[in-house]
Amino acid sequence: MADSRQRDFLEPAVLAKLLGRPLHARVPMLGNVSGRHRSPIRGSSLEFAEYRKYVPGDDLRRLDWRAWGRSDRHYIKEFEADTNLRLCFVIDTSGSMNQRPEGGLTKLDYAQRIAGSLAYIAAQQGDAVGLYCAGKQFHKEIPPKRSSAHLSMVLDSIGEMEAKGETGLPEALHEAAEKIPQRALFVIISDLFMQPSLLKDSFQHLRFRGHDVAVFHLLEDEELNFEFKRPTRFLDLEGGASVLADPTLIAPQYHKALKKYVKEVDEIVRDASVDYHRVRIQEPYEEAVARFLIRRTPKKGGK
Amino acid sequence: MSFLQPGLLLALPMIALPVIIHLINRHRHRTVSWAAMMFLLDAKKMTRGMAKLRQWIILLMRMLAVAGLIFALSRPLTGLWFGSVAGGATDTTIILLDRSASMEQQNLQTGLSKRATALNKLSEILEKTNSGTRVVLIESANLDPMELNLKDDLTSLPQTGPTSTSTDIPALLERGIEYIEANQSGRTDVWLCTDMRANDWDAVSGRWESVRSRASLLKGLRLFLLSYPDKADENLSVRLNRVRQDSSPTQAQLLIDATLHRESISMEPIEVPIGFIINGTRSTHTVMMEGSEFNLQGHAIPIDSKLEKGWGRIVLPSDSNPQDNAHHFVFANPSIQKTVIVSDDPSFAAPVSLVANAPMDRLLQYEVDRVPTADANRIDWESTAMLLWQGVIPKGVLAQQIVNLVNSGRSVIFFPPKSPSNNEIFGHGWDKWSKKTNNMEQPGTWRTDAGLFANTQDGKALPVGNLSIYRHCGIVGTGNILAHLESGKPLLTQAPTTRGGAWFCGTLPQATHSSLAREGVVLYVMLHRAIMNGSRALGMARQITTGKGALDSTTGWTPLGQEQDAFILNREFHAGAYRNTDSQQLVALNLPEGEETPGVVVEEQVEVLLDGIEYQRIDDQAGSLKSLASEIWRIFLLLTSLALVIEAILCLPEKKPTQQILKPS
Repeated sequence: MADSRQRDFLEPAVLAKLLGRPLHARVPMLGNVSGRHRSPIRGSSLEFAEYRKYVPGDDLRRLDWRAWGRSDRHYIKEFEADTNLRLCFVIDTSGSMNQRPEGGLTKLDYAQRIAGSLAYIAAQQGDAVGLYCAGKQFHKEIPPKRSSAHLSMVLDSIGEMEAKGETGLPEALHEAAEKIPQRALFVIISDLFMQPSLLKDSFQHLRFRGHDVAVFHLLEDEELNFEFKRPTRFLDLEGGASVLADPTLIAPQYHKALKKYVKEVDEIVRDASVDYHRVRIQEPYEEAVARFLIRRTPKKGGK
Repeated sequence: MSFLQPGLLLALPMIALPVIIHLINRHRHRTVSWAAMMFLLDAKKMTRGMAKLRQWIILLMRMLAVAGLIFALSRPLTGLWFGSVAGGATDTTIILLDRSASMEQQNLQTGLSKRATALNKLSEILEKTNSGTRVVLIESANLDPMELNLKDDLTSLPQTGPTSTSTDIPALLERGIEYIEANQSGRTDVWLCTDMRANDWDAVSGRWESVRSRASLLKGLRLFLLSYPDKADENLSVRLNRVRQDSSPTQAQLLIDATLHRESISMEPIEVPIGFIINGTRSTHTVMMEGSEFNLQGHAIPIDSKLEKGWGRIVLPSDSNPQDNAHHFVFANPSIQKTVIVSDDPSFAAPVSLVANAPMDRLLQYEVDRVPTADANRIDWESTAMLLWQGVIPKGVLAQQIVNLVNSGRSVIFFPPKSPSNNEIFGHGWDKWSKKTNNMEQPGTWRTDAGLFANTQDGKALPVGNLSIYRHCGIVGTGNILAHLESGKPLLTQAPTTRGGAWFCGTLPQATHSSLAREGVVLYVMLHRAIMNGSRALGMARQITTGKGALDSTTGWTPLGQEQDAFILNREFHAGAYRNTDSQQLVALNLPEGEETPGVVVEEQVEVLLDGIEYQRIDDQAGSLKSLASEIWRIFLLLTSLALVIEAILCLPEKKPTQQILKPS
């Protein structure tokens, strides 16, 4: 009962639908076992990669005899190597993730569902799954591993997450970028309520280390619309001072600030080639996950 | 600003309602947990400028809308002079209406006279403010307060129609004050509608002091001076000075002396066709008029030599004031200019008898009857034009007979007796004689515009200042002082009477008392003016001025040369020639002298005259259609709408950028 309660973010019906769509990495991965992701190292898969000139020392078994016969030149025929990927979830556990629309899920609930689904899919593909909780008060690190026991631990940890205190996302991203030496897919799930400049550094750091970065930017309708009819005291979910304001008075400025922020975030994710998904938490999470998976599926004929 | 429903202004504190609602709203805020604090804090920083101002403007617009609505419902009126908020509602409104002839000056474009304009405006304002206010009319001709029904049309009342009278403004104000004092009328608005003619205002009258002191004691009195001081662009008036019948066996003619007055902006010489209508026959004589006055002397009009009496009028072309374009007259064989001298002192009777008997007009017969005081009861009162009384002021029947004589239009001049008594007549009596000294005194000031010492027709002053007064007897009473001695003591005083004239002379003509007899001219003019004044009431033809009591009876008079009009009750206020159906006596009623004089009292004079009285002057013009007070609730409603529209525009939500934000870049 305790397990089922902690893993109620995993919905079998949703998982069953999503399992049909594999998780792809956008960049070649350096896995340690064979998997379904491209590797920068040439291997022996059936997928042709390229021709290259023969150099002494190359294995003659890989010489393309047909090419030699046609052109009288020696070419080595290379094939893609398939490997597994390291999927690292970085989930924002700051107090702001407790934002809940009326009758809906909190952002953390939503994040748990996305992370749980993707973790399950990745594990089913044989990928390693890890977890970083990025909160100053709730911090946790689970390096990516591919055993089923490890998946169970990751899922448990996802279920145990609590949103409180200030965010530690930039620090967590820098730390993860340093700690994971090999290429990995970082899936960041957060409301990103921080100065965009801090995000920029973190994303650039991850990209510098060769990681594939994907972001689920969770936003809620009230935050976007800011449609309050009467003066309201806003209590900071991250423990800051409360603010009494007349929304009718400040709504235009609020929208202006929001627009400016969104524009800056858009620029940052574009510059850092981040796979960015802005998600309204009012929409079903399986749609957001499905959209994420579809967008990452390599196009036909592409590499 | 004033309001028809001032009670609704009590709701003015509701203007604060938007602010109160705003504060309550702020106080009753809801609390929500919020993640996106960074945007909120940024928004609050940005809100400090224009957005806050916008919010204040929104609040201001809401307050303006509420205020505008309250003001609109309170039915505001333009003009500052009626039932102001501070003053509250008025209990009584008294209209003091100047019905003098000069108030008939018209605006030639609208055809409305000053009087009609004033009445129209007062009617309109009373109609608008008729909530429980008692309206009382006191008009200048009758001076009787009359309570009006608010439904009455002021302009159609016979008591507000035109007259050929002049107005006594101090008396009018006194009547208004008396009414307020007698009726305890509470908050009272007094509307004095006048054309500010100096002749009507009588700025030198001693009654102004009484008016000021009484009015300043009245609480809740507000005087509104609805004035029409504008002069006519072009107005001519005519006054007959004298009409004489010059009969000889071969021919008979009327000799007419008349004066034309002109009120004009340009003062260019003009030709004036003067019409003379004698017993219905019209003739015209054209004169060239330069300046503001023209004297027509001895204009002869032939008449039937057998004609003993008749009527006529001098008429001018119509202009801006129809009331002064005609002067009526009647003529008949003149009566004997009889003077009765009552005195026991031959030294007094002799010179005055000589002067009274010296003919001033060769066409008239003069007669003097000397009577000792003891035989005064044998005086033939009916044929007496002037009575000269030098003796102790009588009492009882004799005094009443003298009063009746004066009230019938005749003249009396009282001279001091050797031993003055305390008796009084016409509110006047004698004080003590001055002591015999060798010092003489001379008159210091005297009235040159009216009265027995007035200037001659050609404007020359009488040599009153050359008189020497050796002995003087004090005059007790508050009449109109016509001459002062250098010491300030009254030398000649006219007692107030409704008709006729009663004068008190503070010295005697004989050489022991003054140089009146020795120098003669002043005494001659003085006595003959009094005789002329008194003789107007004698004979078959009388020239009298309009006014209350001008006619002995209000009935039995037939208009001559005019249609039978509706002014039966008020005939004495309307110029015209009339015949008494019983006595066949002819009477010509005309404007009082001075009414044609165009001078007005200036603002500084008015301030002095009404010093101590809270008054507000509203200058208007004849024929003006501009309302004294018009409702302007529409303007306030418009302002309310405008404020609401501005508020709505400022409250319009900005476009929601949600959908755009959700699209990932």
